[in-house]
Amino acid sequence: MSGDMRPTTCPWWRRWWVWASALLLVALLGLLLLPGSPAVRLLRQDTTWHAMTQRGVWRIGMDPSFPPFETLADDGAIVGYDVDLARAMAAQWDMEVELVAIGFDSLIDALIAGKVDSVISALPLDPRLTKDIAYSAPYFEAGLRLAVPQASALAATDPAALEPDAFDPGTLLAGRTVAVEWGSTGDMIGRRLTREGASLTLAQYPTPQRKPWARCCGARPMHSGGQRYPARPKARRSQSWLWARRWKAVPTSSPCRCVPMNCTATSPTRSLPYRRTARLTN
Amino acid sequence: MLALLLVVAVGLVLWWTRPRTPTAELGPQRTVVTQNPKAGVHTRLTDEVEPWKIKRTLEMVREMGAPWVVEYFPWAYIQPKPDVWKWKHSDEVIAHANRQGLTVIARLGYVPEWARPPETTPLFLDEEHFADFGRFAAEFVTHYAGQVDYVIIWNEPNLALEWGYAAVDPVKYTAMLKVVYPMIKAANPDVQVLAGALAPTLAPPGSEWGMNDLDFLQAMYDAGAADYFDILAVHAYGWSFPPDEPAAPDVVNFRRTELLRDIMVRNGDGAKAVMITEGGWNDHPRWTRAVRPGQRIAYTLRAYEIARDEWPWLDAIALWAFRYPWDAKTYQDYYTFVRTDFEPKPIYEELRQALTGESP
Repeated sequence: MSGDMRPTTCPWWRRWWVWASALLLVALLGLLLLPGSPAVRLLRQDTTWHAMTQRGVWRIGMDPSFPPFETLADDGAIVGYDVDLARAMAAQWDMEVELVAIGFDSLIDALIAGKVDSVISALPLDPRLTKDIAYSAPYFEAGLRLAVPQASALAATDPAALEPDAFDPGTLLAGRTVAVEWGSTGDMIGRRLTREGASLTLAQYPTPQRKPWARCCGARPMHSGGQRYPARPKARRSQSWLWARRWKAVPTSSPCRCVPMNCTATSPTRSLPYRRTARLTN
Repeated sequence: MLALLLVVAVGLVLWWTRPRTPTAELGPQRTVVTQNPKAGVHTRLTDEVEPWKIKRTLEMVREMGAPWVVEYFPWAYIQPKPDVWKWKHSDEVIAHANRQGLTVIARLGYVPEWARPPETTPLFLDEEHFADFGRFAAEFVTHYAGQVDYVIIWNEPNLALEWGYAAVDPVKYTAMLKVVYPMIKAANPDVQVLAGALAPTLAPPGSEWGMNDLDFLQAMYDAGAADYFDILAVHAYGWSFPPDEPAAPDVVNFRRTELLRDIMVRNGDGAKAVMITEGGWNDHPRWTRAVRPGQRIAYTLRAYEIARDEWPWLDAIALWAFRYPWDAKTYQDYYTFVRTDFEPKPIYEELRQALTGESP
């Protein structure tokens, strides 16, 4: 081996140049990533919103077979709570609404495929889908509830006794008859209470429509649906099993009183902040 | 050096005291008390990792009065490499099922990576690997000799989805039976081989998604399948129709089973039995093919009655699905009899009363 074996040294100006370049790069990146910077705006661009504003029309997918949220009127028009909600939001945004009737099973696919801008269809939250779609804050909290006559002593139950920690349905319903839809979640919970020793009588009806809603409470129907209009056709039961989650007496205009709360939807304006919430869920 | 020793010691302690999956005692030998010896369910224990949940599931099936269970044993799980066999989970399932007095019908399928081309799904199997599948099936029936007497070869091969998105081909499926069936019989002649397990579908001719199950079965016979299975497996979904809705070629309903049976008879195969290895009704609130919960109960009770009283050629009816290991968060959750937390749905209670004759 021959030649000079000493390590070569980097000229001072080259070292300074590397350091200066690195600092400049960091500074540039910092500027670009500042909130509100063009780069951030580009990264955060809501393509759905952009398309909606360009078009001036908000295309909404919904399955019109789920009253009172969405159903078909006699003239074939889609009507319901979700329709009213969509129109109210669109009016704030100064947009037209285009309702697209899609089967419930295909709503998410239609959204992902860009066939619609949003889905408003009493759509339950599935956390696993949040990587593909953006959900709004909840605007309706379904859940099991107990409908009782206005004059029932149950309607006057101290709200504190209905809090989850204090709630004791076995005691509350002891000696009473509770109507449920046969096979429903309400039926399941009634059976559970019976297994656990509650002395209630379950009156099982083949459909919600067969329950004694009109008389409301020859028996005291444990209504397992999340809707406000229990006598409406095709009323379906809730998927929630947290039936005792948020009990609270809420007066309604019906001869019945719903216990717990959530007979009415929460205010849409409260649950629809910012335009990202154009895609909705309950 | 001391610090190194300390780290090693702590590591050893942590390893020694690591949480382990507790095993579940098999318990005493039980028998199923039932008034319907054909009644069964399709369990979903494939991905159920906790032994006590496996045991509890099978206990509840026994307590419901159903002597039959269909369970899926994926090839890829048991033989992940050509020379690697992993029997632990399936051993657990079979041991608990046997101890509960249940008869297991084992569904085999799901191809390991080593037995299929790259970029194919685990439901794709080419001719080159039929013998590998046959070797797996033969090993399975040998391993469980005396414990599993029924195996189903593949699932719903008339759907592109279940056929690895290759063109649905009854001739190819029959060719697979011709390879696999003799290997199973050579390994364990006592085992009954079920074939078919066709999805009920009205897919039009030439559909890329699937083939009408009636056409598929006839094509299987045309290809010479009769000598290569012992029992026809049938999927009998009712969709929104009641179980007494008459069968018709253009309708998917529970009695479509009778049309498949007619095809067997027409092909001189009437001496063979039929087993329903999937089927039933769904009570999702919004799925288009669902019924109301009460209808689901009534229809299911009636279906078990039909199986027992009207179809002498049917040996078992295992409806989909007893319980899932976790919520699917789709309409599928509304096929189950028991929730993932083991809370019995009303349909379970009603079936238990009907099948065991016990009052609530």
